[in-house]
Amino acid sequence: MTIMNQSKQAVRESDSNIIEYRMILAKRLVVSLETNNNQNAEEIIHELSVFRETNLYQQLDKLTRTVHDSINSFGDKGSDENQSISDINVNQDLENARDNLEYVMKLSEESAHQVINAVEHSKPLSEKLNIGADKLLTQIKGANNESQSLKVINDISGYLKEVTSDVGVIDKNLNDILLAQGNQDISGQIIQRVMAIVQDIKDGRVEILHGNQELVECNNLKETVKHVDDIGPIVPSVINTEVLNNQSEVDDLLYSLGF
Amino acid sequence: MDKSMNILVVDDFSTMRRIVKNLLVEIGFNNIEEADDGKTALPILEEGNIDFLVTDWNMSGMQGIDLLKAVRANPELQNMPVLMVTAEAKKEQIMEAAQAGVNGYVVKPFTADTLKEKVDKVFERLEQ
Repeated sequence: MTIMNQSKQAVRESDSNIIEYRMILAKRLVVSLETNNNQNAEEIIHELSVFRETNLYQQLDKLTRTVHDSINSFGDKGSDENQSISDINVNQDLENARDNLEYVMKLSEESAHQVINAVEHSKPLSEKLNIGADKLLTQIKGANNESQSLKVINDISGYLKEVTSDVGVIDKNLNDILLAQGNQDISGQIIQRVMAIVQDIKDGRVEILHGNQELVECNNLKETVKHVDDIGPIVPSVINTEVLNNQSEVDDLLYSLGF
Repeated sequence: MDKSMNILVVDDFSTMRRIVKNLLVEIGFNNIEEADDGKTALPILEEGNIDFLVTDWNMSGMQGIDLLKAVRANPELQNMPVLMVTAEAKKEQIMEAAQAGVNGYVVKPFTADTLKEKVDKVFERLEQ
């Protein structure tokens, strides 16, 4: 094995020696040119070119894998380092990301309906109470004798019972309106995670486009994505066996822990 | 359970803080403060006037789980009842919270009845 091939093998085994490898080839290129060894010089230039392309493809591979892992972090798939790039189904990954955003839209729609339902159930009650109050006021004004006054008192008593009942329903409906706003929190968290993924992709793409930056940037990218992994609300687009589906399951788990 | 106790509600989403606060008012609590992150919550807790902590998990500055651990690590705060109200529903996270000493765990989305039930349960267990 020639010294050049030995150098090539040793350096390629370590990503951190990329610059060192390039320096070795560059120095050998200079020596070849100075000694008029044009054939050797051509081989070295070719080697540098191939290495640069390989490095770029490796970075693109890492970016693809990172995006795949990021999108899968919405579920429980996590990352599979043994999965080859050719096995990563980018279309499926993007489908999952789209499912997440569709879930956000679905939550928004559900919240809107919940609010409208509560308003539609409350308005007739409010109107009924208003009409009842007007009627009583008229009765009170028109009560001229003891018998009429007693009737008014009875009617007021009946009205107040209605008020107690109907106000309870209106109160519950107001609570439903309040709780419907809770979906904004869940939607917001999902959107934040998608924004983080988009930013990671943008950052990774920018780094590659800026001329084959070192793999350190890709590693930083992975660290950023790792922070996004495993947190945030659960989205039902991917079956996730490690996630509990409702408060009842949470209570069961806590009970098993002694709660 | 003393309904005049001071409660701190911690969540980075203002809508969620308002929801939890309103529901606690419905239950009968009236002294409720808010913080938008574990980092802003901790100094409030360290002032010593809070009796009950209700916190989210996923917050950018200091996560709720870290806030819980900080509370349990502080001799002045270690016995404070803590209820987590969060979208995090992974088994390992719930177990981590339990091991860190959480007193109750409510997953979002939740109902008013569920929140009341869990608050009552926190204090029932403490009285036991």
